[in-house]
Amino acid sequence: MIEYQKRAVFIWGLLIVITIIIIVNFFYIQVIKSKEFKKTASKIHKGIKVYIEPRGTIFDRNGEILVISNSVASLYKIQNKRFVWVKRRIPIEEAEASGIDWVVEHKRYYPKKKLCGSLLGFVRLEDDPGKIEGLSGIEGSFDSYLTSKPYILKVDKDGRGRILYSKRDKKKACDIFLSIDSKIQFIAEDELKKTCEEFDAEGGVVLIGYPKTGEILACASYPEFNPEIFSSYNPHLWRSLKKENIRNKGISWVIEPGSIFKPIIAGILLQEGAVKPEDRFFCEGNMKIKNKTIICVCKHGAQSFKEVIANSCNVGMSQAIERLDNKRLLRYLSHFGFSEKTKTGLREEEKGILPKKDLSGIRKANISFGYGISATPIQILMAVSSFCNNGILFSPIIVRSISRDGKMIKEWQPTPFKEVLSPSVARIVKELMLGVVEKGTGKNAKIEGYEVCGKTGTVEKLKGKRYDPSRVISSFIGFFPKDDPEIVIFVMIDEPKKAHFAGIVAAPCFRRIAERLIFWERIKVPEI
Amino acid sequence: MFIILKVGLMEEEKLHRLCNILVIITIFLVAIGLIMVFSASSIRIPQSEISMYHYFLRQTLWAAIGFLALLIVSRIDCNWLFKNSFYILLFCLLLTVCTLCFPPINNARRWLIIGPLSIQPSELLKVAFIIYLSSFFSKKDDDKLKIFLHGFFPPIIILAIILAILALQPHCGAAIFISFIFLSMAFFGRVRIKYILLFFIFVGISIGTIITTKSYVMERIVNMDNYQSQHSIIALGSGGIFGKGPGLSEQKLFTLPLPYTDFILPIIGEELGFLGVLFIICLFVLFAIIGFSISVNLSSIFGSLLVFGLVFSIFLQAIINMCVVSKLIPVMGLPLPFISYGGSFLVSSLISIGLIINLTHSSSKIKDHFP
Repeated sequence: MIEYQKRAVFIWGLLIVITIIIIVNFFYIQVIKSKEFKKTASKIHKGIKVYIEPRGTIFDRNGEILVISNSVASLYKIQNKRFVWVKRRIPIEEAEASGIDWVVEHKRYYPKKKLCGSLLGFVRLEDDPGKIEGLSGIEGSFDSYLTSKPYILKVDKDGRGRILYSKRDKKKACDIFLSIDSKIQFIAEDELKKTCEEFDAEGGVVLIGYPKTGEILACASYPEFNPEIFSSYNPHLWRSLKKENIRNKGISWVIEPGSIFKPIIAGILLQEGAVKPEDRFFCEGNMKIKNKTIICVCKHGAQSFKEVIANSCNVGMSQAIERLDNKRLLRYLSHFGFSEKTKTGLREEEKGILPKKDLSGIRKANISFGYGISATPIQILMAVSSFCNNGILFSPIIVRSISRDGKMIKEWQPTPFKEVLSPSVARIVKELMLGVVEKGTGKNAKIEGYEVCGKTGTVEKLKGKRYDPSRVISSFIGFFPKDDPEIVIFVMIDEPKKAHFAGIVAAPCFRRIAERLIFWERIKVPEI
Repeated sequence: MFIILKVGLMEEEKLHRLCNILVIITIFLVAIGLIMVFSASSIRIPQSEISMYHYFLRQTLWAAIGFLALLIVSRIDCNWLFKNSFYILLFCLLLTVCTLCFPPINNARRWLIIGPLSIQPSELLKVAFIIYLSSFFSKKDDDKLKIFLHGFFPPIIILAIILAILALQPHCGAAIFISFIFLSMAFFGRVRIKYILLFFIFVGISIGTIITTKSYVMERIVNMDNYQSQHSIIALGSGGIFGKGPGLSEQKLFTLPLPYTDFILPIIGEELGFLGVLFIICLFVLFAIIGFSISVNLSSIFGSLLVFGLVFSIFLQAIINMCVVSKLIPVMGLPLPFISYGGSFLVSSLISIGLIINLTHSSSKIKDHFP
């Protein structure tokens, strides 16, 4: 062989050996060690991602947002096959920069701040990824609609941890549309606060309803509550809150209604024909029933039944209610919806208590002016609204509809619940209540140019077993215009200290609210 | 394999047939390369300004230019090459020196940038150097080759110049590679073993100085377990025997950096599996076998040496690249011939093939010293 051919064979042999080494090495990596490397690769490129659709939005009747969910990011890691939070609720840009796995979470945002706070309720951030649980109010009662379950998906990632593509079905959370008008709500809250501050009161409620459908336009409670404080981590602030602050008193405050109850009793008596508006009663200032005494504010003397209502005379009412037997009285009261939850769907709602069948002695007389029976503000509001609707009682509506992705899934239609009074009786009761404002205790509620019907009520609160005259609930319920009522407003002020009588405390508050509503054209101006 | 080698001088017809097979293998490799460059380079983030076809189209353009160059080179007079090899080398050297005037890309000045094109003249320099060495060794007869000053010293001086330029760029992988080429060419060109051993010492010293002066080389050798090699292995390993399927590589998704250049083989391994890689290796081995067979059966020394040099150069690059991606040796920055993205390298490789075709057909016309 020629020299260079010999050398060529040598080089060739060398390369063959190297090639064999290379092939063996590739075989080792790709076949023998393959499983290990596949695992490593899947660590880089496979992952799980938790998706959460935002909690639903709550709108008022005009489509204004009361609560909405903002997207924030929470960092997590999987430690020993368990899900562990690293940091929660940071801006998304920050999470993207961190390089740690993260999930979009949502934070409740209240564009109108504390407006409607106690009605909306508050939420709690849970440990589960992205889960927010509504604990009170609308948030709590309709939690199952507002939340959407987080779902975990297997995803492919690129080398920088960006998620490539994943197919997923979105199941959006529902949005809730309330019957609340945020403007009216604002006026109610504003006036309630002013009144409470003016008379140094403990608290109060303003309920405003639209009698024709039973919709609640405003539901204000005082002290105010800003649900946003639960979105911020400030346990100190949480502890400073009392249960009283959070409560939506409009539906959950069980009270003895007091004189406010008189129109309802009057309606029952008139319906049964037990009394007529012209019937005469005589008030001596007090009245003894089985060694207990019923006291009136003053000696009213001889008066018609109409004047009994106008003067808010307890003695007259006690005499009148004697004309009705117990059984029928109780049946009527339960017809009016007392001791039953209204169908608002809010879970904090209370029922109130009706007395048992035993209405002996003073008990029956007490009912005639609203003692010995308990009810919630919304029950009273609805009962009084029935006078505006020719005696038809409606179920209150706070939530108008629930929709998912623009599609209506549940709707609360105005439902005429029961016909409790006949139209003519309802008309008479309206006249009686007109008398209260025109000539009686509710003169402070008079509005220029309108026929306002109303009733005052000043209830002494129980202190142990005795009524305490220094702690009263001062309330006024009224509606107007008389012939075709557009609005029912119920004001209750808890323990005003500077004045007690409802005519001084609650009636002006009613008037101011009504005047502002008229000014903002939320109520039709009657044609003259 | 050896059967082909042992034939001795083959009749021309047989040589031509071998040459045709070589060209077919080349076309095959280039085609696989285009497909895999497309697969590996088409991943884009949505905000990307570069189209997903960007690298594929460029590589296709370069392949077209390369085949054109192949056609031209296969038809030039090889006697002219034989005589003017030194000037060709000089020209390529000047081009390489020119790169030093251009702004650095990734801290290296390896490219001539003319408008949208960037050319790496060191690739052409490799070919030119091989032509020069073949010409040089074939001009000397055995007696002259035995004298160090006559037969070995001039090319060493030229090598030293080349290495100096490459060290300035810097392009260590190419420098080491060219030294290897020189070594094997000298060995194949009948230089005394004694001198080659001497050269070994020289190379040892020069490599030693490169390593100690250039910290990044040292780092590469010490830090074999770097990010790129790690992910290269993961890509290969996760491919398994049959691979994940064409286009389904995961490591190309911004995990393995620049997967369409030097590290294209891991992507092939991931998508087509061990069988795919084995197929590529087999193509290269077949390429080498046929190339060597042509080389040893040519009738002129110049032709023989040149074909050997060109085939060896391509095969060695392939082997080094495979060793790098399977983590047998540190990262050298050498692409996989015909397959990796890179215009200058593809063109210079195809020019090599053109030269092989040329010499197979006209080797007998060369008037050199035949032993």
